[in-house]
Amino acid sequence: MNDLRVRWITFALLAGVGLYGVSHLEFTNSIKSFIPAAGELGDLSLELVDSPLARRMAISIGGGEKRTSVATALAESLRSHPEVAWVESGFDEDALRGIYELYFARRVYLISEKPEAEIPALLEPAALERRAAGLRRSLAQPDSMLVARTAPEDPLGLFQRIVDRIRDAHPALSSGSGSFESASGEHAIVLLGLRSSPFDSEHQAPLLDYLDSEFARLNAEAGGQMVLESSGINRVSVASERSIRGDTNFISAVSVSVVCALFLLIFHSLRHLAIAILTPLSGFAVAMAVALSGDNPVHGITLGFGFVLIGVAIDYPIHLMNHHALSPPGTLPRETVAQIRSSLLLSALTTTLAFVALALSDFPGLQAMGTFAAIGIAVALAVTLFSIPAFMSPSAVPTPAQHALAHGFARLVGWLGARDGLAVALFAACALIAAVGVPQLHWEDDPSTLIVGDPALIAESERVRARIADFDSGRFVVGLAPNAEAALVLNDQIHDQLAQAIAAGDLEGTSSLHTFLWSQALQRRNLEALRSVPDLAGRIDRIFVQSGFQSGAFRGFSAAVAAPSVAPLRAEDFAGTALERSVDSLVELEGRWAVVTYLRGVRSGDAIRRALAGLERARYIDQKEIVAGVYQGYRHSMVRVLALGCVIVFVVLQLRYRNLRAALLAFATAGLAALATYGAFGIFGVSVNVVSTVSLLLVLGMGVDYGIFTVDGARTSDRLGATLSSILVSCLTSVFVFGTLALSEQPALRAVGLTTGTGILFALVLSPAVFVMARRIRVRE
Amino acid sequence: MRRARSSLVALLPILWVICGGDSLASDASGSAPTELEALMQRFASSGGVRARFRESRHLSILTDPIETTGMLYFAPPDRLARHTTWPGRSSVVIDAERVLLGDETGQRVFDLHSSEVARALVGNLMIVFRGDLEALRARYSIAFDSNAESWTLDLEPRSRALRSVIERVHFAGKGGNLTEMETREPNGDRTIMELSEIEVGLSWGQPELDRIFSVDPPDTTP
Repeated sequence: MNDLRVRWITFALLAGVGLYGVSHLEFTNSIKSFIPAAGELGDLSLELVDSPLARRMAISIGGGEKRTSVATALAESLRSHPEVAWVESGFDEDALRGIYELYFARRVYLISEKPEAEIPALLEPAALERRAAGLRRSLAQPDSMLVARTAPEDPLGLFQRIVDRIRDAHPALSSGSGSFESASGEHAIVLLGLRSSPFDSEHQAPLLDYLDSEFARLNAEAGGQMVLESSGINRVSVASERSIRGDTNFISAVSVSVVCALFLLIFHSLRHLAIAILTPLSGFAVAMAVALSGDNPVHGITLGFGFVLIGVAIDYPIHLMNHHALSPPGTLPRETVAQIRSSLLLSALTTTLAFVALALSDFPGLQAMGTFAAIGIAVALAVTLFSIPAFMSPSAVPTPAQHALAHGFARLVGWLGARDGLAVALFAACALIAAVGVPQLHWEDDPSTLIVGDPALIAESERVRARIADFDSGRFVVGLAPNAEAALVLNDQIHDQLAQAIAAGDLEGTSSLHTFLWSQALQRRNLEALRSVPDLAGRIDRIFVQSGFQSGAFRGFSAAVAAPSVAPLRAEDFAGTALERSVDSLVELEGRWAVVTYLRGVRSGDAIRRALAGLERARYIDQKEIVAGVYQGYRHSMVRVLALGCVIVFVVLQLRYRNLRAALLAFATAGLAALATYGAFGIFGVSVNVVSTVSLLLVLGMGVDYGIFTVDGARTSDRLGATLSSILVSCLTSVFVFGTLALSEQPALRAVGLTTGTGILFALVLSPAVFVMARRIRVRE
Repeated sequence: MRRARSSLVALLPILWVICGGDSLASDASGSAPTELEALMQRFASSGGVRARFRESRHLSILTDPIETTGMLYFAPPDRLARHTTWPGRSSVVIDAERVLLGDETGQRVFDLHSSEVARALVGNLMIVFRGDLEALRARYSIAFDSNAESWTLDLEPRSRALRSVIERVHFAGKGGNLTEMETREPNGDRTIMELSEIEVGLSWGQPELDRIFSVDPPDTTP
């Protein structure tokens, strides 16, 4: 196949996969991608992260008297947005009527959580006398009409007990104005539900933009004094995505610029640059197309990580073009390829294997990164071997920079070779750094630190949550049961035992379905307890008559106890009422039922676990605690993977060289560089995490490349300068690319950049020493 | 909001009395208005009002009526306060779109925006303030009767929502004086209010207005 055809095929394939990638581009930034499978609790936790419970936003509007009307108008406006599933800004008259109708007829079922003890006490003569006097006082109030109307059927005030219970559980949303208000009364509150996942930025970003623009319009109409604040996973998610997008743009721009500058400096040719850039572009485009061909969107961090391919994969054309330029005149590009093919193949193989090890990780996010990079490197190698020679000019002339670098390195190696101890000292220095620093390493096992949110946004979210006395995100108790009724029975018990934790000061409060709905069993026990009171009607009648009530005035109540007009309350009864969302915490998960109780102000997880003692199917979930535990375990696993990667790479090297010392030297660059990197982090107090450990695989992969080229170069004396100058250019490109990653706002990308950049610098420093020692071995042989 | 609505219902007859208080009291020595239009014109010209009230609530579940006494205040165009002083202390204040309730258990605020019925009640009362007979007829069936000495005015809500709260409001007066006012609810309960010591055409300074129209009732009559 002639070169022209190769060029056209290369362009066509690149254009095809590039177009596919652009047209299918969809990415996410969900933390779920970084949470590995973690057993029942972890799975449950993950399911709830993306359940309808998490699909909500709270909006707070303050700034003056018009806040309520602005909130009401905003709620109305949001109601029509396609991404909004529901909006609540208060209970209007219809909503209140709905609540009345839901509960009044069922008042005889919802009296007490301990009916056998409390209901008889409620009907003791002294208690009834107090109640009768209280009812009489209520009837003298100017707003007694409802009491007067309901008293004949509810002399004990059972309906009011239910209302008080709901009000106590949700004080911030129970203002008398009918509109939701903050606890201080200074902010109007709007709650809304989302149709899509809060991590789905494609849908969330337009909604947030719409919210901002609608508020701006309404605020202008209201005089411009209103202030809107909000909380919601979607806000953090969209902001993170914008940050990642900005970082990605920045990193890619800087990476490309630096690589371009280096190319111009070394090769003095834009053509060389254009040819070389084909390699990483092809690798990136194909890896992206493969990633997008699946069902899941690409994670933003995977995409950012993919840009490091520019730094890694451009090494191959650098080696090729540098070697070709420094080859004897008349050497054809494909001849140069033939000369270094084995080195290229071996280095690409070891790097790909390092990324394959990453792809075997338990982390979905890391799997994606590893797969992306492994595919990218393999494609880059193929392009380097088959396409790039077709673009290169047959006769290349080295530039003065290439000459200078090649001669400079030759002199450096000569100088080092003459000083036996210096090369060994370099190895020893790196080993010392590793020995001193690695024991001091601080491991960060909190995965949430891998994705950073805007501090101002987080503070705003906390303010809003405080205004509505919102629950702690990520801490809850889940009751699991085979059916809904069993889940509600369990929830009754959970509520009872958590109430004791609240009384003991281990917990500030809960947000529980129990406020609104009890199990049918408990409801029936209430009715039975009421019915078991001897002469209930006569007892009430006698005592109330003494307080001025008509005899027989409460026949309606007796009738309701004898034959309630409705069955006990069920979750289905909430459909279409203002309290419909209250039963969202009862969810069916893969054939079983979970009921979630959110917690506020947990003093200690152990105290909550103690509080739940005896409830086998109740689980306390602290997502942070669970995932941190999983990450800690995974960190050890990752170290094992790293060790396995080292073994695989070393075995490959041994197979290639069939010489233990040569294999060890080729491996030494990577191994010592990785260890010295963590040693330096330990000494300088830089925390490391799973991503840092994964990044050591990059150091391993690229460091081994340098080791291979160095050892191979040492075997052929005529390639000394070309090899080491190629390594220098490769190192510099990689260091600058990873250096820009270290500037990222995203801790995960920063960790990759810092670890890899430092590791490659160590590898660069070690390469001449390896060359000297490899040559010494060669000479002895 | 039911409580707010109930409060407004309780205040409805009071508002009627106060609205007409100026006219009725100022014309105490004259004859009763023989036409509804004349009565409405008098309502429209009411000023600041203060009156002592005595209320009897006849509830079907009680053997005896509940008696309360206190003071009523009205400041045009849209402020009204009812301060009960016996047997216990409580207050209801309507200030434009807000209703405030206060008693020994605390204070509560209601926004009229969220209740169609409450909004309708207050809106209807504003119609009376304006003397807008046409709008009043649109909302109520009106029966007005008078002779040389007395008059009666009966209102029946046309809207079903309002009718579920108030069946009928009955006013009776002699000459220019209101002698009886009765609110009847659909369940048969009745509230009868008598007013005395009516003062009209009053105007208060801002500190006095703030004190009167708050749920911390004035200890002494301003």
